[in-house]
Amino acid sequence: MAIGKRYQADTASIVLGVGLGITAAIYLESTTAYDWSTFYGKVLEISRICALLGSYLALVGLVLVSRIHWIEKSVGHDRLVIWHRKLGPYSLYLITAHVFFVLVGYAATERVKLGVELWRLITNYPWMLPATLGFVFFAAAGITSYKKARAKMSYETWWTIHLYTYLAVALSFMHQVLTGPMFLGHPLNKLYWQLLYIAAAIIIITWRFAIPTIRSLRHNLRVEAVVKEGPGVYSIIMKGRNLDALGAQGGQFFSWRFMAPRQWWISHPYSLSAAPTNDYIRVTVKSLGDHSDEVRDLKPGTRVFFEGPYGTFVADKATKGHVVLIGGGVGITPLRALLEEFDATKEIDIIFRASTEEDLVLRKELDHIADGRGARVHYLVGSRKEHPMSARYISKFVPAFRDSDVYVCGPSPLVDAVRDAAHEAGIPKNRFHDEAFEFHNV
Amino acid sequence: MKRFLYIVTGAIGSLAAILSITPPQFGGASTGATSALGGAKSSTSSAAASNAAAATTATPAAAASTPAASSPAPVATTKATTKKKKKTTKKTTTKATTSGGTTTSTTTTTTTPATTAPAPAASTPAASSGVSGTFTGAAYDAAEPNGRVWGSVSVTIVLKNGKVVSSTGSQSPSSRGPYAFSALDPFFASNQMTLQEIKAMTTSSVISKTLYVGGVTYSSLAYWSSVKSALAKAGI
Repeated sequence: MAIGKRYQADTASIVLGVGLGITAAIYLESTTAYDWSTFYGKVLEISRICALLGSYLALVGLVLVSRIHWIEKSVGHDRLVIWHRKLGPYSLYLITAHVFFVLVGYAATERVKLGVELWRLITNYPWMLPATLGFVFFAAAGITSYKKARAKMSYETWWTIHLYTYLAVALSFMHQVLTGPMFLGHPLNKLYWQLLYIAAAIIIITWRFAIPTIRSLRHNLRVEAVVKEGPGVYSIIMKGRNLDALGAQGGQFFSWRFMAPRQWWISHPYSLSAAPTNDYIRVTVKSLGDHSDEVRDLKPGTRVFFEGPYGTFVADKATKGHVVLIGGGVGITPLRALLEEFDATKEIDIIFRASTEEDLVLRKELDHIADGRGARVHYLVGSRKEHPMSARYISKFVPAFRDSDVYVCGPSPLVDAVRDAAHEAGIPKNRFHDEAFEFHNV
Repeated sequence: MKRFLYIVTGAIGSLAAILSITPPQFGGASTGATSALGGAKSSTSSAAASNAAAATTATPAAAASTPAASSPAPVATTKATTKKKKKTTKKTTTKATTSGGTTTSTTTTTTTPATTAPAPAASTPAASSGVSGTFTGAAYDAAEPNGRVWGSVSVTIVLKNGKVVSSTGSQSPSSRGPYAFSALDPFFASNQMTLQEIKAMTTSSVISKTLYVGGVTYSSLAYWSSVKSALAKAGI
């Protein structure tokens, strides 16, 4: 099974590489020594290389987060999102370089000011206005994903701007095939490029839209009840049909879309807060964004569209006989679900960090399950100074810390601290499992 | 890390495969460029290049003999076909803008006077060596080898004492005419070019001067043909 999974991701990597090779080849096939004979000719040629590579990487970026299930299963959604995040900036840099070099190259050739040249390019070339708009959308998505900018806006705003990337890629396509020297008079190059875009479109439409819609309708998931768990924390209990077929496990998350007014247009990543049954699924949500009151006011019977399950934060990743689950605040929810998934032979310690007693959500459930299977729960309430999550401090509660599998979920500072602690204790990477909230947000 | 290697291997593999099946025309074009920059007079090393130069220099000569834009089609076409045969026939479709392709396209543009508009716009008759006046050349299609036409181009030149002082192109329908001509107009009108030099230009020299205005190769070739037609009308 594991070999099969790895094989799929490897195949995807090779396909990605082949595409990159062909993209480079269509450039090399169409360029000539004339093109490189003058200084500004070189500038323009570089701009074309940037455009080709940037566009290719942009497509790859979209496909990476298009939820192709066999890639998700083998690589893990989190990892794909990380790749998407690493790749994104490069494609934006390359496309920005393309715009800049084209502008400079043509302006210098025609001896006009940059502003004049910009106007000429937009007005005289076919499909240049849409392409310019596309660039603006693309740049906006890139800038708002930059850490500092991202921190200043709500998930909803960021997500909406990010959605425009699809439009950006579509808008820029026509100016490429109508004006690109690598396509004009090169029918094979053009064919390849068209097939590339068609393939990306098919993948996105299939995996991102069609399949989730069909699955949601088939399982007919609806809100059953909304329960208050703590200050600003609510559990949403959903009822559906034949949910076992989803193959979801505690520790995983779905992308949820509640079909209520003002909410249907955006989806939210929430982890399961209990192991799913054939009829019921539960998530527990802390109201962080603009979305807060809307969760509380969800009416029973509201239809729920979903994508998932996602995530490799699951019980069968554990290799040792001892497991330490560390949760911060509402980050305890996937751990609460995980707790039900480990078989009886595992020895389990749970460390629950929260700033106040009130924030210890799902406490009764935790105690109940822990009592039932003989797991220990350590509640660490207070400030970060009171509870530094170092290897030594954790070992005080869990002497077997260095010889266990570590699962951590919570705000990034906690996850980072525990990662350092695990490293300090000599715990290898394959025994450290983390689920930082922010990685869900694509 | 391993997957990164897969990506690199896949990229290099496919790149190598494509380049070995259809080698890039990079070097081939550079021979043309050298001969182009040297002009028709300079002795060229490559037989193909001199062949191309001969084909193109034949055109203005034929045009000059007849006042209207007569079509020197037969000569040029035969040259084109022989050249095509020298190259691998497969590539003529895909490698249109590369050296082999450009020669083909040139002949297409020069041989098809689109709308034979021999409107004799000559306001001043040719007197002696120092010709002055305004002359409009015949319209030529800016046609790609694959048949796509970027409108037909007609150029009006103003001569003063045998020198081009201004050159204005028009394209209809104007797909991207103004854009192309903003580079072409000053090029043909600049004082650094004498009539002899304009006449002695080869296909490749036109392209090399204007190619960095990406994608206007065909417009510039049609432009050049129209300039020659205008010069022919001026009796030069």
